[in-house]
Formats: sequence, structure tokens, C-alpha cells
Amino acid sequence: MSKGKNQFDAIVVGSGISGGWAAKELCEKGLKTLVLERGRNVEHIKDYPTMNKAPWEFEHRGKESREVQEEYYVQSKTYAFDEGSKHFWVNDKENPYTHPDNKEFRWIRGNHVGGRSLTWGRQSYRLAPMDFEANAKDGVGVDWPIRYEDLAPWYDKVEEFIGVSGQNEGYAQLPDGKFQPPMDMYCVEEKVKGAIEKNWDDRFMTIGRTANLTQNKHNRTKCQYRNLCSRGCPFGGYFSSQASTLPAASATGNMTLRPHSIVESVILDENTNKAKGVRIIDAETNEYHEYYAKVIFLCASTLGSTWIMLNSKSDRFPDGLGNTSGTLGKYLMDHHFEVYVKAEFDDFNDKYNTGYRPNGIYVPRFQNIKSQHPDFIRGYGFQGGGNRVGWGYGNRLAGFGAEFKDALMKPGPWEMSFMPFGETLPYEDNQVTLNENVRDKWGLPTLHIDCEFKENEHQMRKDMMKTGKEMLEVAGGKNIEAVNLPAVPGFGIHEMGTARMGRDPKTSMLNKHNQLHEVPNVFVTDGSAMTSSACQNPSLTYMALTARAVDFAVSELKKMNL
Amino acid sequence: MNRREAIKKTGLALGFAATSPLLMHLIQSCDSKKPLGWKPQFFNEKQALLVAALANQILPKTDTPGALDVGVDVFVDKMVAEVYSKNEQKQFLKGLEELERNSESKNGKIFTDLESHEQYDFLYGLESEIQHLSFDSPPQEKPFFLMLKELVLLGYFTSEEIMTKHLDYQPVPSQLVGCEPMKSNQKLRVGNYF
Repeated sequence: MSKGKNQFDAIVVGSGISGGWAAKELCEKGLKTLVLERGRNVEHIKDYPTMNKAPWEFEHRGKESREVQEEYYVQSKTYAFDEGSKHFWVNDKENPYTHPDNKEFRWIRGNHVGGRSLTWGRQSYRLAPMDFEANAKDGVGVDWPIRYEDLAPWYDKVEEFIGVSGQNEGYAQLPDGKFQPPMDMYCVEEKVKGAIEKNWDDRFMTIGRTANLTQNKHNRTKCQYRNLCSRGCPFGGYFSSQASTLPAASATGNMTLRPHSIVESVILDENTNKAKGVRIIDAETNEYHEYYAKVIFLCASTLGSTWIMLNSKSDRFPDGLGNTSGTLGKYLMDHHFEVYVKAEFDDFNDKYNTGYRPNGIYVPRFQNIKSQHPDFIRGYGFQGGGNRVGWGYGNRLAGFGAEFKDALMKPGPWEMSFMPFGETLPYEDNQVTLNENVRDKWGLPTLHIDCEFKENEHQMRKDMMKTGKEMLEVAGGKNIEAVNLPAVPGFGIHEMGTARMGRDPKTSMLNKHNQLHEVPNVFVTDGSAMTSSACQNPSLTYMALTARAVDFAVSELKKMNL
Repeated sequence: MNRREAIKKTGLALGFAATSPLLMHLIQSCDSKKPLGWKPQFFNEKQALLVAALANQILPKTDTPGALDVGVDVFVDKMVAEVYSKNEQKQFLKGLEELERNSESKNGKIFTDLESHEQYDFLYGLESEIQHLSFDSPPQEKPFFLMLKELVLLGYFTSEEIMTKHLDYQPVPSQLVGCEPMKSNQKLRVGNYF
């Protein structure tokens, strides 16, 4: 049975938010685990070259050179991409994908150990009972095969391990969690919160729930409020695979981490209908290798895992691994955002803050809970925050000269902004397919991504504009401005749904344990598993689904069921 | 709202009266006519001198350093050369040319030959004609003066000299206090984030 050094108990594909969790849980349960990562290795602290740099130490003071903008023409559009973090994003010219000319899709990727856990926004919210019930209630998509109660203990476990700071509030639409102490609100945020909660009985504002530590945990030091997260944190102040899950996996002695390993396909044993292992291309040598295991976790990101399954063709599954249903690649979702609402405040001129908080506020969803909006279903939550603006606001002001300069050397006025994130429905024709005509540098087919927001999302955005403005108005905001930019799918960096969970193998890829209906020793626990998108930032849910699926997989292995 | 109205509003918001240009030029230094002491990579010498004179008007030396004291003219040259797209480079050069043409037709002299107070008045007029940059209706093409101003502010406020000696530089605050009393002479707090 032994295939020597290429035989493991478990294989995890991907080392980001989901893969790190799979690795930790499998290793801690005693399984010899191979973690495959398509990109280079990134070691905690050692490989964060910009983590302590001052602005003047960067050649272009944070801006990207023309060459970098051209090489990273998609990645450079996202908020966290700058001269200090550009090494944590893929080079777009070297990593092609296609989309229809009239349907832009921004695929934001970090192909290296740790993946996007190094650069993520860290906002960590549970889905609510109503989110798991929504599809069944509305008759949209398919029903989630799990309910909130199934995931709640795993949310507990994940929050306690990664460290999420936040405030328990008792909101039905945003369940409480196991939080570290919350971060402070700024003065102007307290004012806006007060006004919102005085004027509406169903709208609330709470401090952002973020995977930044407010107390030391394990070998990690609490957040130092430098607001430099996406460069990698020498304190381990925020959750990343490097700071948290990979060290735990490594400490067991059970993990083998193999960077530069592009999984080309999952190998199916057509006699047993189980996966034997995976075939990889070494990204440096271009050599093919095979690795074998009893159980395989695909955690390569939504579109990454979907690509692997689409490319894993066999006589049994000519359309991709476990894809008799034909649902693989379909129902792609992303949260729509890029509605911005902002106001100035002329009070609190004698108040200031210490520390640059890497976190904002959150207004949980309030639409379509008690009553039904005539124009759209589901809802949205507001992120955003207040701050006392700095010299950069000089770019928005008229003026120059001595007094202009002196004014910018002092704290500017307080502002408050809202940035809502909205739920997107699962549409069958929002889908990815293999593009055999465009090949990457290893000769592999690429992804063609065909995705757009539709009427429900566009109606919701009008409402975001209206409710955002009215909340800042009642709070006494001045010069309120609001904009509804053309939302581009992918840009929310919350892509989900292309291998969805469901009760029926005919209409879904995964069962209630994130197990392929048709290939029982393959589990998919990244965003591709999502049956609906809800409107909350989804990474916490991927981690909880992963931990839960590993627990099930290992118990099935012990029962000799896999 | 045009930019002049915005200036007045800003003046109120920042707690200073919109002083007359005449008074303002008196406190501004006038050291922009030195020969160029460095070799530009993108501009020719005339353009570089013009950029220096403009930067000096935007952030002049007072009891704190001016733009030219922290090398903003060299920085603008580098950014236009290495960061700007080919289109933005063209737009920037066109802006410099138009400004000189404008100055000659209005003042009978190129900008760098004007006295400092004349330079100030000329730019004051120029900026008044720019529409206020609204959040919800950004212009198709950013006006030249705003392109320049953006680079000048960036170069100045991210320089080591200004951040560490003239602002309240706290690279590692270590704690968060959301709302605390502020002393009247408090400088802007800055860290290492962009």
C-alpha cells in the first residue's frame, strides 16, 4: 500500500485562510499532512520586507511605478495594494484569465504561502440563522444543508483560536461570538451611533469585529495600532496563516509544506470512486509529481479549487471531479460594494485619538428582516468609520501657500464614511469555465469568468445610497456626499459559490459536511462551498466550515468509511 | 461650489480667516530663482525651474520648511518620470506649457520671472477657475494644478524631515484611545501607513 515518501494521510491544497485551518486541524488530529501551495514560501516576519518601513524609505512613497502598474493591472486596483504590499499579489501578466468584454471581473489573488490571509481585511462576522434559511424561504438557489446551530460551536472554536476583537450586542441578524475586548470608537462614531439608534429601532452600530488582537494570544502580541497589516505584522497582531494556524500545524511535527506546487488535478481511482491523490507541477522545475493520501481538502480559494475540479477530468467525470450535477463553476457570487457615503462634522475639534485603528464600524443588515422591501430581497451591512483627517485632505481643498501649509500640519476636521457590502444572489449564468485557448506558462488552461450583478443588486444599491445619507443626516453630518460607482464583480474579494453545498446531489456539489457528493474523500471548504452569500465578510465562515469538515472527515476515517 | 468658495469654507473650517493675497505674499519666501542644482530625469531645466517655483508657492518656507527645503521638486520629477502613465506625462507637460502661455498673456512674463507676490496672485486666479472636486462627480481629467498639488503634498508630508521634526510622528502607538482631549498646539499625528 505504501507509496513511499509521496504517501500521506491527508493532502491540503492551499495554505491561506481555509488551508491553514485544514492543516492545523488535520495535523493536530495526528494525520501526516502534506500542504501544497502553488506559490513561493513566505515565512513569518522574515519574509515581510516592508513591515517596519517609513514612507520616505519607499522610492515612490507608496505609489506603484508605471512598470508595476502595468504588470499588476488588476491587482493594483485594490485598496490594499501599494508599494509596501505589492509582493503579496500575483503578477497579472503571468497569471492570465479572461472575461467577456462587457463583463469585467477583477480576480484579486495572492499565490504564496499564507495566500490572502496576509492581506485580508480581517473583518469577521458570523452568518445568522436567517442567512442559512434565506434560500429556502425565498425559493432562490438551493437550501443550505446546514443551519446556524450546526456551525455555531465551530465559530466559537475559530474565534477563540484566531482572536477576534468585538462587542457582543445580542443582534438577531449578527450573532454574538467569543470575542476579545472591543476596540474604541472615535468620538464622531459614538455620535453617529447614538443618532442612528435614537431614530430607528432596527438599525444599530457596533465596533468592527476584527481578527486583530486586543490581548496577547499564544505567541502573538496584541495589535500595536500601526495600521500596516497588509505588509505582514512582526507582532502577529492580526490573524494570518503564518502567525496562527501554520505554526500550530507545524508544532505537531505532522505537516509537510510544499511551496511551488501547482495542483494540476485530483487523481480518481475509478474502481473505488475515491480520490487517490493529486498530480502537481513543480512551478520551478516544471516537473510533474504525484502525491497520495486517504483524504484531500481543496482549500485553494473559490476559483482556485473550482479550476482544479474542472481540470480533473476522467471517464467517470468528464465535466470535472464530482460534477455529474453540472453545477461546478456556476452560481458565482461576490459582495457588491463601491457605494460610498461621507459627511464632515464640525464638532469635536478639541478631541483627538491615539493609535491608527485597523478597523472600522459595522451597521448590521436591517432591510428585509421585519418587513419586505418592494424593490429587492436580502440586504446589506455598512462598514466604514470616522477619522480626523490628515494632510491628504489638502488634495480636496482649494488653497495653497503659507496658511494652507500650516493648516495641513494640524489635525483636520472629523469625517465619517459608510461603505455598504450587499448580498448577491446565486445566478446560474454567473459562471466560470475552462478556457482551453488561453494557456498559462505551464501550458494549463485558464479560467473564463462570466459574471455580472443583476437587478436585485442594482435595486439594493439605490437603497444603500438613500439609507446611508439619511443616517449621516440625522447625526448632523455636513456636506454629505454619496456615490454609486459601477460595481465590478470580484472587486469585493469575496468570490463564492462555484461548488455549492446542498441537500441534493443533482443540484449541488457538496453535502452538509463539505464532502463531494460523488467523491467522498474529497472535501472543499473554501468560499466555493457557499450556498448563498449573505452580506457578511465570509472568511470566518470558511474557517468554521473547514474545522467542522475536518472533524467529520477524521471521524469517518476512523470508522473506515473513507 | 467653485474652488474659491471652497477656499473660504476651508478657511472657516480650519479656523483662519481667508487672508488677502497681498498680506500672504509678504510672509512667503522667494528663493525659487536659484539655478537648478540637480539633474532632472524627466523635465528639461526650464520645466524643472517652473515646477520648483510652483512647488514653492504651494508650500512655501515659513517658520517650518518649504517644499524646496525637503526636495519636493526632485521628487515631482521622479514621480512624473516613473509613476505617471504616458498619458499623464503628456497631460502634465501640457499643463506646464499652458501655465506659461497664460502667464505671458496675463502678465507679459513667464511665471518664473514674476515676483513672488505676482506668482501667488496668478495661481490664486488660476485655482479659482478650477471646479471644486466633488466626491460624486469626479472630472474626466484631473486639472494640472491639482495633479501637481497632489505630488507636492505627497513629497512634502511623507519626507523624513517633515514627519519626524514637524508632525507628531508615532510609528508604533502601541495603544488605541478613541476619543481624548486635544491640546491646542497639537500637530497632526502620523505613522508609517500610506
